[in-house]
Amino acid sequence: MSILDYHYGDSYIHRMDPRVKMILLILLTIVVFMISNFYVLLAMFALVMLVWKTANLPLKNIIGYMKFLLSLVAFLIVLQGLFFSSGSNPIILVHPIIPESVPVIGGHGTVYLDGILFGLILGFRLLTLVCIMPIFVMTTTIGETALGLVKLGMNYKYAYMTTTALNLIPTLQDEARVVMDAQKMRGFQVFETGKFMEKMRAYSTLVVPLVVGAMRRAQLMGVAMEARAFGVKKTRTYRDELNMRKIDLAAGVLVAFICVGMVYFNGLLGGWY
Amino acid sequence: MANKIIEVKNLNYRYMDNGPLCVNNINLEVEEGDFIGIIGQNGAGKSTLMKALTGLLRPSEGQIFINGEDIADIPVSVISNTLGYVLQNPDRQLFAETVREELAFGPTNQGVSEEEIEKRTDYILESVGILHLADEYPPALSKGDRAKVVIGSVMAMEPKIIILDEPTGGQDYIGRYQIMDIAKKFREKGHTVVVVTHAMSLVAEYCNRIVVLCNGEILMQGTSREVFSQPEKLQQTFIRPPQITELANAMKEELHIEETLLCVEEMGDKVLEHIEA
Repeated sequence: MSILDYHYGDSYIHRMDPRVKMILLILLTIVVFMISNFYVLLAMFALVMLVWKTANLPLKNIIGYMKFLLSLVAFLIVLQGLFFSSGSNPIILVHPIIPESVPVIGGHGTVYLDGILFGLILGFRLLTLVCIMPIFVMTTTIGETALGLVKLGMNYKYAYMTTTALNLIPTLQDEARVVMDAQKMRGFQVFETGKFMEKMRAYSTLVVPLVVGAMRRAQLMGVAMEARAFGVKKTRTYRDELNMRKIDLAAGVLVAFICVGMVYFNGLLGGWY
Repeated sequence: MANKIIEVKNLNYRYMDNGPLCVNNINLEVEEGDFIGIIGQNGAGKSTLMKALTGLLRPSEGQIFINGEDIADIPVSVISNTLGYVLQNPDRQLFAETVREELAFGPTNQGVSEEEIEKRTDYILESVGILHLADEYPPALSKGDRAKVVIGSVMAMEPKIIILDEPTGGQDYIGRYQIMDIAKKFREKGHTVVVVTHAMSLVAEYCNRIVVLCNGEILMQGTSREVFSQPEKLQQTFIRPPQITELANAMKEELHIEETLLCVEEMGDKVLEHIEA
C-alpha cells in the first residue's frame, strides 16, 4: 500500500468530517511554510506524527519515503552549506578549502554555518509537508473528499474531477509497474540492473503506454458517466450526507489554535531564515 | 522422454506477509514441446502462478526450475531469454512507434544482430499475419491486432517457452482462433506453449495437457480427454467442459459413445457412425 491509498480504519481521524480535515490540511501546509525556526518546526513535525499515531496509520508506509527524503535533506544541507549566498554576514565554519592559486575553482569550498542551518530548515519543512498530505488521503475516501468539496461550495463536476485525479495516481502507479514488468519480460534490463541515471532515462519509455492507457480510460469513464446521467442537473443528491459534529469543530479549533501558537512562538523565538 | 523445461517444486505464494496462500503447494512439470492449458475460475491463482514462473513474483516458499536452472536469483530480464510472457492487457505492452520497432524491441535488448532482427521481424510479421501493419502505430490498432503484435513481439525473442495469459480475452471468434493458431505454429517450431484461458473449447482443441487450478491448488491435471471426462470434479471449480463434450455426454446412451468427445469433428463422426449403423 502506498501513502496515496486509502487505509481502512476506524480512528477518530477517519471519522472526522472531511471538510475540517481539508481546512486543517491547508492550514497546516501554510503554517509549515511560515515557520522558519527549527525548534518550532520540530514541534510541528511532532504534532504531525501525533496525528499519524492517532489515525493508526502504519508508519512503515512513510519510512521508505523518509529514507529518500533524509538523503535529500542531507543533500540540501551540503548544498546550502557550500553555496549559501543570502544573509548579510554569514558565519563561516571552514574557510576556502581550495587555495586561491588554483585556476577557475580557486577560493571555493567555504562552509557556511548559516547555509547548513538554512538547508536544515528547508529539508525539515519538506519532510513535514510530505507527512501531512498522506494523513488526509489515507483517512478520507474519495467519496468523502468529493462530498466535502461539494459541501464547501465547489461545483460537483469539478469536485468529481479533482477526486478522480487523486484516484488516478495509485492507478497510474500500478499501471507503471505493469508496463515495467512487460519491458523486463522483453529483456529490458535497466529497471533491474541499470545505474541510477540509466533508470531515470528509462522512465521516459513508460510515458507512451501510460498516457495512451490514461486517455483510453478517461474516454471510457466519460462515456460511462454520461450514460448514467452525470452532469444532467445543476444539483444532485447524495447517498451519504456529512454530519459536522461538535467534537470535529472543537478539534479543528484546537489545531488552529496550536497553529497560531506556533506562528507566535516562531515570531517570539525568531525565525532562523 | 522429453526434457523437463519447467519444474515447480512445493511452490507457495502469498501477496502479504502472514496473508493467505494464493498459490498453495504447487508441484508441476512441463515437458519441452508441450502445449499446456491452465484453467480455473477467477482468483484460482493462474496469473500468480504464471508470474512466479517468469520471476515477476518470487516464491514465498518452494523452487522453480526453468530449463533446469533455479530462477530464484535470476533477474526477470534474463529469464525472459528462455521464457517469454505475454501479459493480459496488450495496451500496457506496447512501447514503440511502429509495429516493426515493437517486434525489434526484445531482440535489441537481447543484443541480437541487426541482420538477424530484420530476419526475425519479417518472419513474425508474416507468420502472425500483421505484415500489412508493419509501419502502423501499435496503440492505434484494433484490439485483435494489438494482441497479435504483443504475442509476435515476445515470439521475436525466440524464447524456448511462451506463456500467454488469457490471450483470447475480448477477441471475436476469428480472432480467438487466429491467436491460438499462432501459438500452435510456434509450438510446431519446437517451442513450449503455456496458455491461461477460460475458453474451454480452445483448450480442448489445442492443448495436449491441462492443469486445473482451484483455490491456489492443482485440482487435477492430465490430457484434455482425461480432464474433461470428469465433469463432476470440474464442477468444484465451476468449470464446464466444452459444449460439444456436454452434448456428447448427454447423448452417450443414444449414440453408444464410450469415450469423451472434445470437438465437433469427433461428434460428427459418432453421429455418422450411428446413422450408418
